[in-house]
Amino acid sequence: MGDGSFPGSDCPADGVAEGFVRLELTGPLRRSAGTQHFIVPCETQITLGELLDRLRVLCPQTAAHLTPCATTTAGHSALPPGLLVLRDQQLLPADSAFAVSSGDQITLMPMISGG
Amino acid sequence: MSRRPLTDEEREIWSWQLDVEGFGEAGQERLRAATVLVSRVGGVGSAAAYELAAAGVGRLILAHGGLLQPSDLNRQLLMTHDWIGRPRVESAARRLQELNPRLEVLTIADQITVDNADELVGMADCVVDAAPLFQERLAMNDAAERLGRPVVEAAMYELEASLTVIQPPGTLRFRDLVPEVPAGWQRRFPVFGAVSGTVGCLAAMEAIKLLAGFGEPLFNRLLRLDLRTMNSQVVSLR
Repeated sequence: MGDGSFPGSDCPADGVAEGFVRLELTGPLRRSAGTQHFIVPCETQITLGELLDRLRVLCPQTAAHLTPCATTTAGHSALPPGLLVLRDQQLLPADSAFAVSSGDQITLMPMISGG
Repeated sequence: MSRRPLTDEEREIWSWQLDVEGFGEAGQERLRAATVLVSRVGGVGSAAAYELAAAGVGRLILAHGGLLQPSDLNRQLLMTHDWIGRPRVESAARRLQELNPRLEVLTIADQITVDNADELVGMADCVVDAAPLFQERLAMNDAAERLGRPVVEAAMYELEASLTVIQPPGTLRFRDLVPEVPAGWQRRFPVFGAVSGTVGCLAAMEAIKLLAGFGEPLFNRLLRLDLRTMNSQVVSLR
């Protein structure tokens, strides 16, 4: 798990194979995981909530940063407070029901406060 | 603070930056008439305050509680070894006025809280947020939103840094990004002074652009820096 690859997967470290999402982890999330990139198995589409659930299972040490938000938006759970999710340098909605696709490269960026 | 023409001495001090396109004497006069709240003056805030003082901002409000500790000295560039055990904010004011004796400094030997945020933010034209706790950032941004003040949000962690400018309703609110204090953030964070200083200088430049009215501040954009790889990225927040 040291290189962030899902055990048994044949994902290249610098690309995204079909059936996977490649995560970039930043800040304290990266430090907790011990790696910058993580490959998570993904059907054609999964929700952000499912993606985070899978990361928690594959990498339990990230769980402290991925506590779901208690509030809801339009009936869906919000993402953990302060967690920005980016795709192609674009901020995605903070909605656990938002769908991402196999082959996506997603950045999980917890807001930081070091001063 | 009122705006008036530059004196010959002031024109000489800032002559090299008066040549910057889009800035000029009008920009310098605006800076000199401006007040900036910097909270806190640690690794990020020290560098930001120093650059603002050098650039000729007229008044700085510095909010930072506590006494100087030896472990502050790897990054808090307005602190000196001989000041250990004495109030941090007084060391910061002393160093800034050594650089710019014209600078007016108001020191608050306390952190920003929900109880003092409105008063302190209300005294400033712009806020540089360099606080290590999200409670302080939320209090400052809530006050700034109520009062219509722009906030330069500068932060770092280990070798990473982020920077954006918040000024609703033209931008997202800080609470749109951080609705409540995130789980997992810890008061002590890994830091090199070169990283906090880098983002502090960038924060000062954003404040200068906002106050002088030139350039393109990071409205609805967030600059990500990774000094481990020297990769940078500007993320669209809208």
